[in-house]
Amino acid sequence: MTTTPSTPKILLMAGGAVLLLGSFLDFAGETSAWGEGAFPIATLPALLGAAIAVVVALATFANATLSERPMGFTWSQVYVVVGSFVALQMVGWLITEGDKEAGFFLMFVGAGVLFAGALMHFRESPAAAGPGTAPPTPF
Amino acid sequence: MGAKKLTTSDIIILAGGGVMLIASFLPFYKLGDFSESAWSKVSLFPISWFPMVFGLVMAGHVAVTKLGRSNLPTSVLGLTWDQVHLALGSFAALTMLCFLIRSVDPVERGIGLFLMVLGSIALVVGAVVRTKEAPLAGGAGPVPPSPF
Repeated sequence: MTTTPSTPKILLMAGGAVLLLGSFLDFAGETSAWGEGAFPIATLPALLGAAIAVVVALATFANATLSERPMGFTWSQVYVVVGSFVALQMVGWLITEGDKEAGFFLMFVGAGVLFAGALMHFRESPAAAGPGTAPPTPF
Repeated sequence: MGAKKLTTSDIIILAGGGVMLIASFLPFYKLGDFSESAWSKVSLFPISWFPMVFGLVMAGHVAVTKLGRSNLPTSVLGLTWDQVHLALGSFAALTMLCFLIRSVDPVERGIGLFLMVLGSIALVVGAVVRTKEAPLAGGAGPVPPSPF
């Protein structure tokens, strides 16, 4: 049975894929994010983005049973936290010294897409209502 | 209204944040007589600077809530403060471990980098201890039974 993914899930998967793809292109100078001097700091956003994309894809297409609350976080919270960190790292790279290449800009766009998808996913989730928010009881 | 008693996690987080701040001004990378701190573009500022900021946010939150009066919200974007500490501490440690692994030949790693790695580990340990001291509010814990 095929499940149609929601827009936030599509953005999360696309963002992760673009981050990973961009990491193999030239990041700065003639070095990719996997090259000497860049690895593993520049690779980290790509790895985190790819991990998010894999988790979303497994849950959506393979109906994989995931831990409901990894380390007390809901999955929406995990996406927002990781997406924010990835976006922050890429903004940080934008500020660093040196010329940036196509791989960097692709990763930058991927981080933005991942972050947008995470925010949209979070807004649609019950966690957005805040912790300890319980539905009113009739009693 | 006096200051609240500091817990073990509070002390670890305050110490970790303090070490991160001080270490950020010490040599991060060095080559011969030359050295650069985490605030230098050579050390990949602001990537090298973010873990220190994460530590300051964590230590600042502990200081404000325990040592002074505060009206901070109980949650941030649906995350409890325990979760915020866990996330910031984990990302600080992850980033510093990446700097530790990174190949920088012929440049050498400085005392500031090593101290920042230790400080970030203290931050994540403090965050984990904090979650053990008080269960995550709104976390995985069961909802208490209603008397009705």
